Order: sequence, then structure tokens, then C-alpha cells
Amino acid sequence: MSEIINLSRRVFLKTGVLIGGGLVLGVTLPTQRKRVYGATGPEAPYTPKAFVRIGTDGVVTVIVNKSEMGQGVYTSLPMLVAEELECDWSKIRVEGAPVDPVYNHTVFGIQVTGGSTSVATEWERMRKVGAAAREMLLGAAADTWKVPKKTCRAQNGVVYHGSKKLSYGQLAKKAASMPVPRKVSLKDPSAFKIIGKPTRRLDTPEKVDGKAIFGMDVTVTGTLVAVIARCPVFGGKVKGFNGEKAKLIPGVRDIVQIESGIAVVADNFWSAHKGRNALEIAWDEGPLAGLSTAGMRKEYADLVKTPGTTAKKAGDPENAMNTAAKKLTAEYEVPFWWILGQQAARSGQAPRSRR
Amino acid sequence: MISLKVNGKRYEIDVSSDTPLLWVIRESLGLTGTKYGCGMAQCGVCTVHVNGRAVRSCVAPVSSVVGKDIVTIEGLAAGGSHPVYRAWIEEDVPQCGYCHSGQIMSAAALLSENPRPTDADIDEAMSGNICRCGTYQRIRRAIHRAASIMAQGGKK
Repeated sequence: MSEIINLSRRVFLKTGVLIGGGLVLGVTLPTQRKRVYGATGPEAPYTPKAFVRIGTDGVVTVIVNKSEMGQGVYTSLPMLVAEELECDWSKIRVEGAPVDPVYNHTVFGIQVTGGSTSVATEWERMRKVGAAAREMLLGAAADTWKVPKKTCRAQNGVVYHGSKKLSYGQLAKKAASMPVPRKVSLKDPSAFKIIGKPTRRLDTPEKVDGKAIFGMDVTVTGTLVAVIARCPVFGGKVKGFNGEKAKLIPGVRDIVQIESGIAVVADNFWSAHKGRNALEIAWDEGPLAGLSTAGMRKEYADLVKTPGTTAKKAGDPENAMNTAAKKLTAEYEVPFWWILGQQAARSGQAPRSRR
Repeated sequence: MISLKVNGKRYEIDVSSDTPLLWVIRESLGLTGTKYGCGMAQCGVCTVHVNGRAVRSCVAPVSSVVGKDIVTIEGLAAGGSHPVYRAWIEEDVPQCGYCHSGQIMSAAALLSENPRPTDADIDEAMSGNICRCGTYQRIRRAIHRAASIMAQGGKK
């Protein structure tokens, strides 16, 4: 059960002003029998602790608490909100959430994206956000027309009553003063208009004009760039190094030994890169010094010939094989996945097949 | 100082002459649409146009492009009318999106030389642009669509 709460009255109005008189909704899921956040004091800096914002221009901004990595979460979570909000899909915008406990993963308890969990864990919360906002907009319209709320109807970003109608943009300011419903009912899946339907990605335009900001595109004034020289063998360590030549490269600021190798810190990428190439490093290649593709392939091929662990046994396969009229032999190989190399690097051992 | 013309604008930049064009575009000009992938012309994400031809900016020293017309994804997409840009949106091509600045620049260069490419032409011309998400089928469809848009005088 999730509970939808209002920000404190003062903060609510303050944020309303900051966003230009629109509707801001915040929700929390009391997963650990406590609220993830409390209402902040009026002097606290503004953070949009909300999942949806409706402007007086009718634009619906969904604040997505997940990282868009190509999995489509900047489209799928807004679909959940929009389904219940009954808004005009063409007016949906997406904004990445800032860091705040309210945006934590509903199960993992930290602000994280992964494990194919985004839609499953936001399935209820995002729909409730949309439903709560819709109820507040309906309430604002009913209040304006002095009619019972249940006689009003929301559709495609407009509230109707008989021949009267008001757009979400027209209602946004008043809706912000409506009480946030304690309970909302959600649609039966048979009534879904957006969920489950092929929908164009909302993040495509910014990914084809160069405007999308990826991790490495973030710039902070005064940031230096580091390029790291790493041991060519997993698990290896620096035995010794000479950074004198690297220090002579214009733009290089410092040479620092770190856990994974030697970092050259410079004013820009190219200076750091040239500095890295100018390093003289003696490596202790560690226990995997002799590791090779051919050697690993042989190791696995040999392991295949040894008895493995029985996961499940039914019938008498040995006898069936021995008495078969026709026997087929085939060898299958799959590419060696990089994560095994990572695990090898961490454990300092060659990966072994689990059999 | 090095003088460069990027997306129709002139810039005076103070960098060492061996700096790859990519880093001048990204760091000096702040045009981060062009991406860094391998740094050795193997993946294509850094592709820009130099005098209309697709160039891997990560290995092109800035000194080699002085006085030439350089166009990045920001320049190509400006105004939103380029057939390749439009086709990429209409086919909803990107997944993670990281490689698509380079894909679009390579596709545009291909179409300027071969306005009606076959699947084989596309595969050959685009083979240097890697997409880890595997959007190759949509890339191919988008290039055919862009070719159609161009054949109809840029309109659809």
C-alpha cells in the first residue's frame, strides 16, 4: 500500500510559485514503516520532491527516478503516469530526478537503476501519482463549476462536465490547492489505453541532435582529466614507475599511483593521454601472467571431460547412451564473456567453470 | 592559435597541433554530441564531416583540418530538416543512443555520395560504425527512408 502525502502547506505553495503556478505532487511509499521523507522546512533549498508537475501551459513533466540507458525507462515510467492521469501524451516531458531519498528504489532502498526492475517496482507508485493528480484536477474543475466531482470526466488533458470543459493547464494552479487524495482507485488493465501499446521513445529527439547528456559529457568548471595506465594483465600491480617524462608534457598536473595503476592528471584529455603514454612502468603481472585464450580454452575443454555435479537426474542416461542405435557428437562453444575476466581480476584467479 | 571552421562558425583555439579534432570539438568548443569510444578509429562514434566526408575525429590531428569545413552532429541536426536526422526520428532508431551521432554522420556522408544505396552499399559504408545495442536493422531502414526523403526533394 502506498500513501500519497502532500508537502507541507508552505513548501507546497512555495514550490508552486517556483514552477509558475502549476501542480506538484509528491508521494512516498512507507516501505519500512516510516516515511522516506518528511516535509522540509520553508527555508530548505528547493528540490522537486515530486514525480509529476503540471504547468499552466498544460505541459506534464514526469520526473523519472531511473537512469535512461537505452532500456526505455524515460518512456515507460511516463506511460504509467499518463495512463491514470488521462493527459495528452504529446504534452509529456521527462526530467531526470535529482538525488533524494524520495527517489529511492522501492525495494532496494537506494537510488539505483538495474536488474530489470524499474517498471515492476514503479508499476503501482507511478500509476498512483497519475491517478492522484487526475483526482486533484477533477476536484479543481468540480469546484470551479460547483458540481459534484463524480459528474466530471477527464480525457486527453481536458476535464469535461456536460458542455463545459477546462484544460489541465487552465486547472493546474487551482488543482495545486486541492487536497491530495489519501486513496485512489486504479484502472482495470482491460481499460488501458497507453500501457501495453507500442509507444515511440520520448528520448529519441535529443539522442539524434547531440543534445543528450551522457555521463562523460558532464562538465564541471575546473575539472581536470585523468587517464589511467593499467596493468595489461588482470590482477597485476605496479612494481615501480618513472613519471618524469610524463610530467614534462604540457598540461600534465600530477601523476598519482592508485589501486588500479598510475593516473595521469591533466588539464585536458590529450595531455593526460600523452602523459599516460610517456609513463615508464614496471608491472608485477601477478598470478595470471601466463593467462591466454588458448590456455583457457584448453582448460575448459579438459574440464568438460571430467565428471560434473549432477543437478538433476531422471531415468538411466548412461545405459540409454550405451545402447543407442545411433550416437551423435557435437561441440558447442560460446564467446567468453568479459564479466568473467572482471571476476578473475577481483579474485586473482583464473575463472573456472562451475560444474 | 589554431583557426577552425565548425558548423559554419570560426573559432580561434589554443591547443597543441597534434590534439585530435575530437577533443577540440568536445573540450574546447563544448560540443559534446560527438562521442569518444575507442580513440583509434575502430568504432565510429566520433565521426564528423570534414569537407563533406566522414572522418574519425579521434585520430584526425587538429592541424590537418585547418581551413576546412567541419560539421558535427549539432550542425547537421540544426533546424531539424536534414533527411537523415528526420529519418532517424521517424524510425525511432536509437536505443542507448551513444553511437548515433557517428551513425548519422556516416549515413549522411554515404547518401551524399550514393543517394540510392542498396542494403549491401549500406552494410559496407556503415561497417565502421559499431552499435553495441544492435540497432543495425533500424539504421538500415532509416537510411532507406532518408534516401526516399531526399528523392522527394527533402519533403515527405
